[in-house]
Amino acid sequence: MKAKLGVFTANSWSISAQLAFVIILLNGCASVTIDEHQSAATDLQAGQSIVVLGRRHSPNYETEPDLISCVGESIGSGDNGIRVIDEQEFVDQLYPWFEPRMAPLSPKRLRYLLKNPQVQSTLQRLNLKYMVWIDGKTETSNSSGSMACSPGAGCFGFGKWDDKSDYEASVWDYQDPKLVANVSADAQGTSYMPAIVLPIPMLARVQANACKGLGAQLRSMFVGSPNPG
Amino acid sequence: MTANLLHLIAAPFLSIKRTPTIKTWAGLSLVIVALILSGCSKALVVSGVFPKPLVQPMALSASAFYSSELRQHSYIEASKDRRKWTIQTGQAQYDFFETLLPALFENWQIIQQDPRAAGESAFNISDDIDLVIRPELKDFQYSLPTESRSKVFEVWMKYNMQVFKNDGELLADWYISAYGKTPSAFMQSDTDAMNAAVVVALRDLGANLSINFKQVPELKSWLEHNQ
Repeated sequence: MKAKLGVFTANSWSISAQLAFVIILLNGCASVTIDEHQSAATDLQAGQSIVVLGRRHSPNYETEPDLISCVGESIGSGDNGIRVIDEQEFVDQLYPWFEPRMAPLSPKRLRYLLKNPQVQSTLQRLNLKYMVWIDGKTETSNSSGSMACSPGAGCFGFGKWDDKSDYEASVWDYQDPKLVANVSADAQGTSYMPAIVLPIPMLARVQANACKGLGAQLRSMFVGSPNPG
Repeated sequence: MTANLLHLIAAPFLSIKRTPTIKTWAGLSLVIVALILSGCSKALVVSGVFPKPLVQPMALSASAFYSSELRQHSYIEASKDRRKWTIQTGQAQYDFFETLLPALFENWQIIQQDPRAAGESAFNISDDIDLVIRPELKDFQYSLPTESRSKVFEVWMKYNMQVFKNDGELLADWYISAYGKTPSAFMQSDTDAMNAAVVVALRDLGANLSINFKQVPELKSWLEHNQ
Protein backbone atom coordinates (compact mmCIF):
# COMPACT_ATOMS: atom_id res chain seq x y z
CA MET A 1 0.00 0.00 0.00
CA LYS A 2 2.80 2.32 1.01
CA ALA A 3 4.81 1.51 -2.12
CA LYS A 4 1.78 2.11 -4.30
CA LEU A 5 1.19 5.43 -2.66
CA GLY A 6 4.85 6.31 -3.13
CA VAL A 7 4.78 5.51 -6.86
CA PHE A 8 1.59 7.49 -7.26
CA THR A 9 3.08 10.48 -5.45
CA ALA A 10 6.26 10.41 -7.52
CA ASN A 11 4.25 10.28 -10.75
CA SER A 12 2.02 13.11 -9.69
CA TRP A 13 5.06 15.21 -8.73
CA SER A 14 6.60 14.47 -12.10
CA ILE A 15 3.47 15.50 -13.97
CA SER A 16 3.13 18.65 -11.87
CA ALA A 17 6.77 19.56 -12.45
CA GLN A 18 6.38 19.08 -16.20
CA LEU A 19 3.21 21.17 -16.23
CA ALA A 20 4.88 23.91 -14.17
CA PHE A 21 7.86 23.89 -16.54
CA VAL A 22 5.59 24.21 -19.58
CA ILE A 23 3.60 27.02 -17.93
CA ILE A 24 6.78 28.91 -16.96
CA LEU A 25 8.15 28.38 -20.46
CA LEU A 26 5.00 29.65 -22.15
CA ASN A 27 4.38 32.40 -19.65
CA GLY A 28 7.80 33.88 -20.33
CA CYS A 29 7.14 34.71 -24.00
CA ALA A 30 7.43 38.48 -23.61
CA SER A 31 10.24 40.92 -24.25
CA VAL A 32 10.74 44.59 -23.38
CA THR A 33 13.06 47.16 -24.93
CA ILE A 34 13.71 50.41 -23.07
CA ASP A 35 15.35 53.42 -24.70
CA GLU A 36 16.29 56.58 -22.87
CA HIS A 37 17.44 59.96 -24.05
CA GLN A 38 18.24 62.41 -21.28
CA SER A 39 18.99 66.01 -22.21
CA ALA A 40 19.42 67.43 -18.71
CA ALA A 41 20.29 66.06 -15.28
CA THR A 42 17.44 65.53 -12.83
CA ASP A 43 17.50 67.32 -9.51
CA LEU A 44 14.73 66.18 -7.22
CA GLN A 45 15.07 67.80 -3.80
CA ALA A 46 13.65 66.39 -0.57
CA GLY A 47 9.91 67.09 -0.29
CA GLN A 48 9.45 67.77 -4.00
CA SER A 49 7.00 65.62 -5.93
CA ILE A 50 6.37 64.35 -9.42
CA VAL A 51 3.19 63.47 -11.28
CA VAL A 52 2.64 60.83 -13.97
CA LEU A 53 -0.03 61.80 -16.51
CA GLY A 54 -1.54 59.94 -19.47
CA ARG A 55 -2.06 61.52 -22.87
CA ARG A 56 -5.75 61.33 -23.81
CA HIS A 57 -6.02 63.61 -26.85
CA SER A 58 -5.76 61.01 -29.62
CA PRO A 59 -9.08 60.08 -31.23
CA ASN A 60 -7.99 56.48 -31.88
CA TYR A 61 -6.76 55.34 -28.51
CA GLU A 62 -6.36 56.36 -24.91
CA THR A 63 -3.33 55.77 -22.73
CA GLU A 64 -4.67 53.33 -20.16
CA PRO A 65 -5.25 54.78 -16.65
CA ASP A 66 -4.11 51.50 -15.06
CA LEU A 67 -0.76 51.79 -16.89
CA ILE A 68 -0.36 55.32 -15.53
CA SER A 69 -1.10 54.29 -11.95
CA CYS A 70 1.21 51.26 -12.35
CA VAL A 71 4.14 53.45 -13.49
CA GLY A 72 3.41 55.92 -10.67
CA GLU A 73 3.45 53.12 -8.09
CA SER A 74 6.65 51.74 -9.57
CA ILE A 75 8.41 55.12 -9.31
CA GLY A 76 7.12 55.69 -5.78
CA SER A 77 8.07 52.23 -4.52
CA GLY A 78 11.22 51.39 -2.59
CA ASP A 79 13.13 53.00 0.24
CA ASN A 80 13.82 56.38 -1.33
CA GLY A 81 10.14 57.30 -1.15
CA ILE A 82 9.76 59.55 -4.17
CA ARG A 83 6.46 61.37 -3.74
CA VAL A 84 4.19 60.69 -6.72
CA ILE A 85 0.91 62.62 -6.91
CA ASP A 86 -2.09 60.56 -8.01
CA GLU A 87 -3.13 61.42 -11.58
CA GLN A 88 -6.83 61.90 -10.81
CA GLU A 89 -6.10 64.04 -7.76
CA PHE A 90 -3.79 66.23 -9.86
CA VAL A 91 -6.19 66.80 -12.78
CA ASP A 92 -9.06 67.44 -10.35
CA GLN A 93 -7.11 70.09 -8.45
CA LEU A 94 -6.12 71.79 -11.69
CA TYR A 95 -9.43 71.33 -13.51
CA PRO A 96 -9.94 72.17 -16.37
CA TRP A 97 -6.33 72.91 -17.37
CA PHE A 98 -5.22 69.28 -17.70
CA GLU A 99 -8.34 67.91 -19.39
CA PRO A 100 -7.65 66.27 -22.79
CA ARG A 101 -8.72 69.34 -24.79
CA MET A 102 -6.68 71.75 -22.63
CA ALA A 103 -3.56 69.88 -21.50
CA PRO A 104 -0.26 71.44 -22.66
CA LEU A 105 1.35 69.40 -25.43
CA SER A 106 4.78 70.99 -25.09
CA PRO A 107 6.91 72.67 -22.39
CA LYS A 108 6.35 75.93 -24.29
CA ARG A 109 2.59 75.61 -23.76
CA LEU A 110 3.21 74.76 -20.10
CA ARG A 111 5.22 77.97 -19.75
CA TYR A 112 2.24 79.84 -21.18
CA LEU A 113 -0.16 78.06 -18.80
CA LEU A 114 1.98 79.01 -15.82
CA LYS A 115 1.14 82.66 -16.46
CA ASN A 116 -2.21 81.82 -14.86
CA PRO A 117 -1.65 82.72 -11.19
CA GLN A 118 -4.20 80.16 -9.93
CA VAL A 119 -2.51 77.33 -11.80
CA GLN A 120 0.91 78.41 -10.61
CA SER A 121 -0.12 78.68 -6.96
CA THR A 122 -1.76 75.23 -7.05
CA LEU A 123 1.37 73.67 -8.56
CA GLN A 124 3.53 75.41 -5.96
CA ARG A 125 1.29 74.11 -3.18
CA LEU A 126 1.76 70.58 -4.55
CA ASN A 127 5.53 71.22 -4.53
CA LEU A 128 5.78 69.76 -8.00
CA LYS A 129 9.14 69.38 -9.71
CA TYR A 130 8.59 67.02 -12.65
CA MET A 131 5.71 66.06 -14.91
CA VAL A 132 5.95 62.71 -16.66
CA TRP A 133 3.66 62.48 -19.70
CA ILE A 134 3.05 58.98 -21.03
CA ASP A 135 1.61 58.43 -24.48
CA GLY A 136 0.90 55.06 -26.04
CA LYS A 137 -1.18 51.93 -25.92
CA THR A 138 -1.22 48.16 -25.81
CA GLU A 139 -2.79 46.43 -28.79
CA THR A 140 -3.81 42.85 -29.44
CA SER A 141 -3.22 41.36 -32.87
CA ASN A 142 -2.87 38.06 -34.71
CA SER A 143 -5.54 36.20 -32.76
CA SER A 144 -5.84 32.62 -33.94
CA GLY A 145 -7.15 29.23 -32.88
CA SER A 146 -10.55 28.03 -31.84
CA MET A 147 -12.23 26.67 -28.76
CA ALA A 148 -15.48 24.82 -28.23
CA CYS A 149 -17.25 24.54 -24.91
CA SER A 150 -20.27 22.49 -24.01
CA PRO A 151 -22.04 21.96 -20.70
CA GLY A 152 -20.89 18.76 -19.04
CA ALA A 153 -17.97 18.06 -21.39
CA GLY A 154 -16.03 21.28 -20.72
CA CYS A 155 -13.88 23.18 -23.22
CA PHE A 156 -11.48 21.87 -25.85
CA GLY A 157 -9.29 23.79 -28.25
CA PHE A 158 -6.41 26.21 -28.43
CA GLY A 159 -6.20 29.98 -28.74
CA LYS A 160 -3.23 32.28 -29.27
CA TRP A 161 -2.78 36.02 -29.64
CA ASP A 162 -0.02 38.63 -29.74
CA ASP A 163 0.10 41.78 -27.62
CA LYS A 164 2.24 44.79 -28.38
CA SER A 165 2.86 47.76 -26.10
CA ASP A 166 4.35 51.00 -27.32
CA TYR A 167 4.77 53.82 -24.78
CA GLU A 168 6.80 56.97 -24.67
CA ALA A 169 7.35 58.97 -21.49
CA SER A 170 8.39 62.63 -21.65
CA VAL A 171 9.79 64.16 -18.47
CA TRP A 172 9.25 67.91 -18.10
CA ASP A 173 10.78 70.14 -15.50
CA TYR A 174 7.86 72.22 -14.27
CA GLN A 175 9.89 74.85 -12.43
CA ASP A 176 11.98 75.65 -15.50
CA PRO A 177 9.62 74.37 -18.23
CA LYS A 178 11.76 72.24 -20.52
CA LEU A 179 12.09 68.66 -21.69
CA VAL A 180 14.46 66.73 -19.43
CA ALA A 181 14.26 63.23 -20.88
CA ASN A 182 12.40 60.83 -23.14
CA VAL A 183 12.03 57.18 -22.21
CA SER A 184 10.36 54.70 -24.53
CA ALA A 185 9.20 51.18 -23.81
CA ASP A 186 8.37 48.62 -26.49
CA ALA A 187 7.10 45.29 -25.26
CA GLN A 188 5.64 42.36 -27.10
CA GLY A 189 4.60 38.88 -26.28
CA THR A 190 2.37 35.99 -27.18
CA SER A 191 -0.34 34.60 -24.94
CA TYR A 192 -1.72 31.07 -25.18
CA MET A 193 -4.95 29.52 -24.02
CA PRO A 194 -5.10 25.73 -24.35
CA ALA A 195 -8.30 24.13 -23.12
CA ILE A 196 -8.53 20.53 -21.98
CA VAL A 197 -11.83 20.46 -20.10
CA LEU A 198 -10.82 23.76 -18.46
CA PRO A 199 -9.24 26.74 -20.31
CA ILE A 200 -5.68 27.38 -19.03
CA PRO A 201 -4.70 31.03 -19.72
CA MET A 202 -0.95 31.56 -20.15
CA LEU A 203 -0.76 35.32 -20.40
CA ALA A 204 2.32 37.18 -21.58
CA ARG A 205 1.53 40.24 -19.36
CA VAL A 206 2.92 42.60 -21.98
CA GLN A 207 1.48 45.82 -20.55
CA ALA A 208 2.64 44.88 -17.04
CA ASN A 209 6.16 44.28 -18.36
CA ALA A 210 6.14 47.62 -20.20
CA CYS A 211 5.05 49.31 -16.94
CA LYS A 212 7.76 47.53 -14.98
CA GLY A 213 10.48 48.52 -17.47
CA LEU A 214 9.31 52.11 -17.83
CA GLY A 215 8.83 52.55 -14.06
CA ALA A 216 12.26 51.13 -13.22
CA GLN A 217 14.00 53.37 -15.78
CA LEU A 218 12.21 56.52 -14.62
CA ARG A 219 12.81 55.64 -10.99
CA SER A 220 16.54 55.20 -11.56
CA MET A 221 16.58 58.60 -13.24
CA PHE A 222 14.97 60.31 -10.23
CA VAL A 223 16.83 58.29 -7.60
CA GLY A 224 20.04 59.34 -9.35
CA SER A 225 19.27 62.97 -8.41
CA PRO A 226 21.57 64.50 -5.79
CA ASN A 227 18.79 64.60 -3.15
CA PRO A 228 15.98 62.28 -4.23
CA GLY A 229 12.52 62.75 -2.73
CA MET B 1 -42.60 35.21 -5.00
CA THR B 2 -39.12 33.65 -5.18
CA ALA B 3 -40.53 30.27 -4.17
CA ASN B 4 -43.15 30.54 -6.92
CA LEU B 5 -40.48 31.42 -9.46
CA LEU B 6 -38.28 28.51 -8.40
CA HIS B 7 -41.25 26.20 -8.52
CA LEU B 8 -42.05 27.44 -12.02
CA ILE B 9 -38.50 26.82 -13.21
CA ALA B 10 -38.10 23.46 -11.51
CA ALA B 11 -41.57 22.10 -12.20
CA PRO B 12 -40.89 20.45 -15.60
CA PHE B 13 -37.85 18.64 -14.20
CA LEU B 14 -39.38 17.65 -10.87
CA SER B 15 -42.66 16.35 -12.20
CA ILE B 16 -41.68 12.72 -12.39
CA LYS B 17 -45.08 11.33 -11.70
CA ARG B 18 -47.20 13.97 -13.34
CA THR B 19 -46.73 15.22 -16.89
CA PRO B 20 -45.83 18.94 -17.12
CA THR B 21 -48.71 20.94 -18.40
CA ILE B 22 -48.61 23.35 -21.32
CA LYS B 23 -49.04 26.15 -18.77
CA THR B 24 -45.88 25.07 -16.92
CA TRP B 25 -43.81 24.91 -20.10
CA ALA B 26 -45.16 28.29 -21.22
CA GLY B 27 -44.19 29.75 -17.84
CA LEU B 28 -40.71 28.28 -18.10
CA SER B 29 -40.30 29.66 -21.62
CA LEU B 30 -41.32 33.11 -20.41
CA VAL B 31 -38.77 33.00 -17.59
CA ILE B 32 -36.01 31.93 -20.02
CA VAL B 33 -36.94 34.67 -22.51
CA ALA B 34 -37.00 37.23 -19.68
CA LEU B 35 -33.56 36.08 -18.49
CA ILE B 36 -32.15 36.28 -22.03
CA LEU B 37 -33.63 39.75 -22.57
CA SER B 38 -32.34 41.01 -19.23
CA GLY B 39 -28.86 39.85 -20.29
CA CYS B 40 -29.12 42.05 -23.39
CA SER B 41 -30.25 45.22 -21.63
CA LYS B 42 -28.15 47.63 -19.60
CA ALA B 43 -29.47 50.21 -17.16
CA LEU B 44 -27.24 52.97 -15.88
CA VAL B 45 -27.82 55.93 -13.59
CA VAL B 46 -24.81 58.13 -14.26
CA SER B 47 -23.02 59.42 -11.18
CA GLY B 48 -19.79 61.30 -10.75
CA VAL B 49 -17.90 63.85 -8.74
CA PHE B 50 -17.11 67.04 -10.62
CA PRO B 51 -14.33 69.37 -9.51
CA LYS B 52 -14.71 73.14 -9.32
CA PRO B 53 -12.91 74.92 -12.15
CA LEU B 54 -9.76 76.81 -11.31
CA VAL B 55 -10.76 80.09 -12.96
CA GLN B 56 -11.21 83.70 -11.92
CA PRO B 57 -14.95 84.25 -11.33
CA MET B 58 -16.64 87.06 -13.28
CA ALA B 59 -17.77 90.02 -11.20
CA LEU B 60 -21.43 89.31 -11.95
CA SER B 61 -24.47 87.85 -10.29
CA ALA B 62 -25.90 84.99 -12.31
CA SER B 63 -28.43 82.22 -12.06
CA ALA B 64 -29.55 79.16 -13.96
CA PHE B 65 -32.79 77.54 -14.89
CA TYR B 66 -32.76 73.76 -15.34
CA SER B 67 -35.73 72.33 -17.21
CA SER B 68 -37.39 69.11 -16.09
CA GLU B 69 -36.20 67.56 -19.39
CA LEU B 70 -32.62 68.19 -18.33
CA ARG B 71 -33.06 67.15 -14.71
CA GLN B 72 -34.82 63.93 -15.67
CA HIS B 73 -33.00 63.16 -18.90
CA SER B 74 -32.85 59.51 -19.73
CA TYR B 75 -31.54 58.07 -22.97
CA ILE B 76 -33.35 54.92 -24.04
CA GLU B 77 -31.84 53.08 -26.97
CA ALA B 78 -34.46 52.77 -29.69
CA SER B 79 -32.47 50.94 -32.34
CA LYS B 80 -33.33 47.27 -32.78
CA ASP B 81 -29.75 46.57 -33.84
CA ARG B 82 -28.19 47.70 -30.58
CA ARG B 83 -28.29 46.51 -27.00
CA LYS B 84 -31.08 48.05 -24.97
CA TRP B 85 -29.19 50.68 -23.02
CA THR B 86 -31.03 53.01 -20.66
CA ILE B 87 -28.74 55.81 -19.53
CA GLN B 88 -30.10 58.26 -16.97
CA THR B 89 -27.97 61.41 -17.05
CA GLY B 90 -30.36 63.96 -15.48
CA GLN B 91 -29.00 64.03 -11.94
CA ALA B 92 -25.37 63.92 -13.15
CA GLN B 93 -25.99 66.87 -15.49
CA TYR B 94 -27.60 68.86 -12.69
CA ASP B 95 -24.72 68.06 -10.29
CA PHE B 96 -22.23 69.02 -12.97
CA PHE B 97 -23.81 72.38 -13.84
CA GLU B 98 -24.35 73.25 -10.19
CA THR B 99 -20.65 72.71 -9.54
CA LEU B 100 -19.35 74.43 -12.66
CA LEU B 101 -21.54 77.49 -13.19
CA PRO B 102 -21.45 78.94 -9.62
CA ALA B 103 -17.64 78.91 -9.83
CA LEU B 104 -17.70 81.13 -12.93
CA PHE B 105 -19.50 84.01 -11.17
CA GLU B 106 -19.00 85.89 -7.93
CA ASN B 107 -22.68 85.48 -6.96
CA TRP B 108 -24.97 82.63 -7.83
CA GLN B 109 -28.54 81.47 -7.35
CA ILE B 110 -31.04 79.05 -8.90
CA ILE B 111 -34.36 80.33 -10.18
CA GLN B 112 -37.57 78.40 -10.76
CA GLN B 113 -38.86 80.58 -13.58
CA ASP B 114 -38.12 79.48 -17.13
CA PRO B 115 -37.03 82.59 -19.04
CA ARG B 116 -37.92 80.98 -22.35
CA ALA B 117 -41.42 79.95 -21.35
CA ALA B 118 -42.25 83.19 -19.55
CA GLY B 119 -41.35 85.53 -22.40
CA GLU B 120 -39.93 88.99 -21.95
CA SER B 121 -43.09 90.61 -20.56
CA ALA B 122 -43.82 87.99 -17.89
CA PHE B 123 -40.25 87.31 -16.80
CA ASN B 124 -39.84 88.76 -13.36
CA ILE B 125 -36.70 88.13 -11.37
CA SER B 126 -34.60 90.16 -8.99
CA ASP B 127 -32.65 93.08 -10.44
CA ASP B 128 -29.66 91.78 -8.52
CA ILE B 129 -29.30 89.01 -11.09
CA ASP B 130 -27.40 90.05 -14.19
CA LEU B 131 -27.66 86.89 -16.30
CA VAL B 132 -29.76 83.74 -16.46
CA ILE B 133 -28.24 80.65 -18.07
CA ARG B 134 -30.44 77.95 -19.54
CA PRO B 135 -28.61 74.78 -20.66
CA GLU B 136 -30.48 72.21 -22.69
CA LEU B 137 -29.24 68.83 -23.88
CA LYS B 138 -30.13 68.48 -27.56
CA ASP B 139 -28.41 65.26 -28.51
CA PHE B 140 -26.78 62.29 -26.82
CA GLN B 141 -24.89 59.58 -28.68
CA TYR B 142 -22.58 56.77 -27.71
CA SER B 143 -20.40 54.14 -29.30
CA LEU B 144 -19.39 50.77 -27.85
CA PRO B 145 -16.06 48.94 -28.39
CA THR B 146 -17.92 46.26 -30.36
CA GLU B 147 -19.25 48.90 -32.75
CA SER B 148 -16.11 50.99 -33.26
CA ARG B 149 -13.69 48.03 -33.19
CA SER B 150 -11.58 49.96 -30.72
CA LYS B 151 -11.06 49.44 -27.03
CA VAL B 152 -12.94 52.57 -26.01
CA PHE B 153 -16.45 53.58 -24.98
CA GLU B 154 -17.30 56.98 -26.49
CA VAL B 155 -20.00 59.54 -25.67
CA TRP B 156 -21.01 62.70 -27.51
CA MET B 157 -23.32 65.33 -26.03
CA LYS B 158 -24.63 68.43 -27.76
CA TYR B 159 -26.00 71.34 -25.74
CA ASN B 160 -27.92 74.45 -26.58
CA MET B 161 -26.75 77.16 -24.23
CA GLN B 162 -28.92 80.24 -23.85
CA VAL B 163 -28.16 83.30 -21.77
CA PHE B 164 -30.89 85.80 -20.88
CA LYS B 165 -30.73 89.25 -19.35
CA ASN B 166 -32.68 89.87 -16.16
CA ASP B 167 -35.55 91.38 -18.18
CA GLY B 168 -35.96 88.13 -20.12
CA GLU B 169 -34.26 89.30 -23.32
CA LEU B 170 -32.25 86.59 -25.04
CA LEU B 171 -28.63 87.71 -25.03
CA ALA B 172 -26.77 84.72 -26.48
CA ASP B 173 -27.79 81.43 -28.03
CA TRP B 174 -25.18 78.92 -29.14
CA TYR B 175 -24.45 75.21 -29.42
CA ILE B 176 -21.61 73.46 -27.70
CA SER B 177 -20.51 69.85 -27.95
CA ALA B 178 -18.73 67.57 -25.53
CA TYR B 179 -16.86 64.34 -26.04
CA GLY B 180 -15.77 61.68 -23.61
CA LYS B 181 -14.09 58.35 -24.00
CA THR B 182 -12.79 55.73 -21.66
CA PRO B 183 -10.86 52.55 -22.41
CA SER B 184 -12.43 49.22 -21.62
CA ALA B 185 -10.41 47.55 -18.91
CA PHE B 186 -10.05 44.00 -17.67
CA MET B 187 -12.75 43.14 -15.12
CA GLN B 188 -14.52 46.49 -15.66
CA SER B 189 -18.23 46.28 -16.38
CA ASP B 190 -19.76 47.94 -19.44
CA THR B 191 -21.92 50.15 -17.22
CA ASP B 192 -18.88 51.39 -15.26
CA ALA B 193 -17.05 52.18 -18.50
CA MET B 194 -20.10 53.98 -19.94
CA ASN B 195 -20.52 55.94 -16.69
CA ALA B 196 -16.88 57.02 -16.89
CA ALA B 197 -17.29 58.08 -20.55
CA VAL B 198 -20.32 60.28 -19.70
CA VAL B 199 -18.45 61.85 -16.77
CA VAL B 200 -15.45 62.57 -19.05
CA ALA B 201 -17.83 64.16 -21.60
CA LEU B 202 -19.34 66.41 -18.92
CA ARG B 203 -15.86 67.38 -17.74
CA ASP B 204 -15.00 68.21 -21.35
CA LEU B 205 -18.09 70.41 -21.54
CA GLY B 206 -16.96 72.12 -18.34
CA ALA B 207 -13.49 72.74 -19.76
CA ASN B 208 -15.00 74.29 -22.87
CA LEU B 209 -17.52 76.44 -20.97
CA SER B 210 -15.17 77.70 -18.29
CA ILE B 211 -12.57 78.85 -20.82
CA ASN B 212 -14.77 79.98 -23.72
CA PHE B 213 -17.88 81.38 -22.02
CA LYS B 214 -16.54 84.92 -22.17
CA GLN B 215 -15.50 84.46 -25.80
CA VAL B 216 -19.03 83.97 -27.18
CA PRO B 217 -19.33 87.12 -29.35
CA GLU B 218 -22.64 88.40 -27.93
CA LEU B 219 -21.50 87.81 -24.35
CA LYS B 220 -18.09 89.32 -24.98
CA SER B 221 -19.71 92.47 -26.28
CA TRP B 222 -22.19 92.62 -23.39
CA LEU B 223 -19.48 91.97 -20.79
CA GLU B 224 -17.34 94.81 -22.19
CA HIS B 225 -20.15 97.23 -21.38
CA ASN B 226 -21.49 95.71 -18.18
CA GLN B 227 -18.59 94.37 -16.15
